[in-house]
Amino acid sequence: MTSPWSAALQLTVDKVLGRKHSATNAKSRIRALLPYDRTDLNPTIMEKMKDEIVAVIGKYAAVDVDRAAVKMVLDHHSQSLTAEIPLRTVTGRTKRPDTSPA
Amino acid sequence: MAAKVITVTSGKGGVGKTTTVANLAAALAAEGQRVVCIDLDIGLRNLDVVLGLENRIVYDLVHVVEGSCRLRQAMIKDKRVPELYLIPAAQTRDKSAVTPEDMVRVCNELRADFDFVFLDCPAGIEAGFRNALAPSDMVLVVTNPEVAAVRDADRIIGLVEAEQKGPAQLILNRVRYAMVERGEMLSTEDVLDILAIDLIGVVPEDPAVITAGNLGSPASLDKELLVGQAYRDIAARLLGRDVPFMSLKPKTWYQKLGTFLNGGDTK
Repeated sequence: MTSPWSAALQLTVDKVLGRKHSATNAKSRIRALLPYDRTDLNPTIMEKMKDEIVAVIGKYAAVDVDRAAVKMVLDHHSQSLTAEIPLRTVTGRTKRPDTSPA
Repeated sequence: MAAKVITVTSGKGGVGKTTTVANLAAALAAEGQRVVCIDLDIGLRNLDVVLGLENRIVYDLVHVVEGSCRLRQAMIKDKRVPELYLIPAAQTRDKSAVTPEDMVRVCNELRADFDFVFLDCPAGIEAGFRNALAPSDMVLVVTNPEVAAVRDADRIIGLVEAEQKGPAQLILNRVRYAMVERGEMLSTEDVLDILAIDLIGVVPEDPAVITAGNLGSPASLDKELLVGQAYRDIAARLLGRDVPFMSLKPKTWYQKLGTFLNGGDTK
């Protein structure tokens, strides 16, 4: 039997030590899940979308494909997509894609 | 005065919809309100047993809809409180026996003579949910502080808004104070942060709800129970009273002793 005091103390100690509790886990799992539920998207579609976005931008600029990411952002009852498409700099660039705009 | 039609829904099954309907309906009736509750879980009725009225069923909702009895004939009166009635679901039919239009018609017929009509929605987002939503003036979403229940609640909230029946209000059911304190259960704040809707009640987990279910007597009629108080507080909020959210912290033995010695009530 734990008293409320010892529970509170334990929680403080855990916070100081940076220990995670299962409730934190539950909350982050729900937050990761809901944007997909709400939009009918899934990680596979997101990956495909990212590839297509990278391909479009790649027609005009050199994209750092490995670091490109498309993320879902949950904000209460709205969600949005955030795409981060890093470009290779002109200085130190390796090569531009050889596709020229049609 | 016209009745307010309140739909109690959740998406996920087993979170306490029927228990919520029984307790709120009983609490309001105990306050002198005229209340009807309708079980919409055609084929899997439950509200009759939670209210302890299962032995008095003659007609049900499907009989009413099909016109094989009058509305009043299907209404079973609860004798513990002045004006509480149950319209049970049919046990031998399926959800297609009732349409959303039927429910609008039945509820409109009840509006003139009652203060509250509760619709106990079946789990899921199928026909039964549509039936429960069509006549609704207010939607209460019941959930538990668990991943699956919160996820389904979010889906239901979205569907309620899409049907322009929102904003829904939240009842967080089966909260264990000690687990929340230890960080092992989602807190009320966590759930509200995720679902972003208004809260109308927090109900603690209490074995007394099981006992009440065994007896077929809603816990909200027992003045001694903390869980009963939680339901009575929600009922009061439905009546437009500004009731503060109570602490779910269980009373310590010395607090209980104090109230006992003072001869005061234990709430």
